[in-house]
Amino acid sequence: MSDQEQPKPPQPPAPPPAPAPAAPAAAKEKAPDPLAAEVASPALDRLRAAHGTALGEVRFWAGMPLVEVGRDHLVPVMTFLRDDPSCRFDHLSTCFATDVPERAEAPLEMTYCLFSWPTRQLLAVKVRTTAEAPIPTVSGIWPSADWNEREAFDMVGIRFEGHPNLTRILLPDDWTGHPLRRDYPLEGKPGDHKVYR
Amino acid sequence: MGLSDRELPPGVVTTTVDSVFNWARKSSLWPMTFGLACCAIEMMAAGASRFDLDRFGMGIFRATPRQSDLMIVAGSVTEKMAPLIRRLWEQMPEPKWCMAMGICATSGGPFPTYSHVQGVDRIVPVDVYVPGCPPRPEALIYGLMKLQDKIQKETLARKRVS
Repeated sequence: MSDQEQPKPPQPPAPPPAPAPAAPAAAKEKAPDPLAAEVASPALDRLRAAHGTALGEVRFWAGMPLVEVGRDHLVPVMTFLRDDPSCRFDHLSTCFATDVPERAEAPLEMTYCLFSWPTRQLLAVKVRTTAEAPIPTVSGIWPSADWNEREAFDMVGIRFEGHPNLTRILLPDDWTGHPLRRDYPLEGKPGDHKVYR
Repeated sequence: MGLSDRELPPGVVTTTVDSVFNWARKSSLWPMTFGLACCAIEMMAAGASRFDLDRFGMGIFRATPRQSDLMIVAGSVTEKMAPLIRRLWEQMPEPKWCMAMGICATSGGPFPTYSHVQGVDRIVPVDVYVPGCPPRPEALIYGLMKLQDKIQKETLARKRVS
């Protein structure tokens, strides 16, 4: 959520005197990001009422709540979000993995973007983990998570507990390592490039 | 007593076996229907009416390696695709030729990454490299004409190395 993405306020064509450039920058820092503004979300209210203790940090982006959930609470929370009559998130738009090595205690993160066709709501759920600790699979809740989780396992190396077929999906079956980790060299490791002649 | 000492009937010309075989081979190169990426679009354009590879006897893209003489590697080759390309190449009968179309197939091009083969000549022997990203159909046709020149210089007396 960088500051570069938000629309810049209109500037007068003539630059103001020397101290002036610092003043708008300070004002820009204080001004709340309009994209990060809190929005009303019936699903989030229901989730807070039912699973309030399971939720971590809640943020908003572009009208969509982003909820952080602990690993142990993922399946109950997701099942609730799919089945609750005021949530009914029947569509897992996408789920993807990120690697943030600066966050040493839990560098890997899985984000699930949910959409509800009956109630027309958006919600994103985030789970943080490490390379060793598995996340429970949600492929039993939304079957479309099956291949998305395989891709997250293949490229980033997140383990999913209870997944029916956690094998590589994009890379060759005999690959070692997870190339979308930040510490993976872009050109590949020795042995990644085979010679067949 | 050579042939030149005899009087030949009208319509008879003398040549070498090499010339006849090479002429026949280069005039009817059948490529494989085999595209990997955006270069394949240009290859299709080269085969369609505007550029018309049929003028060179090359318009018959075969859907099986067993009937193909020429493999045009049109596009970027991933490490996962590499063994399959090698298998297709081994399924083609001799004599066979291979062309690397575009910089991805030639050298990896703009993808110096873990997942891309850095040049298809790590997998199969390449006869002609066509640069471009992607090469225009004219460039592909020029490369095919260069391949024809190369075929015309071959000899049956020596086994091709492939």
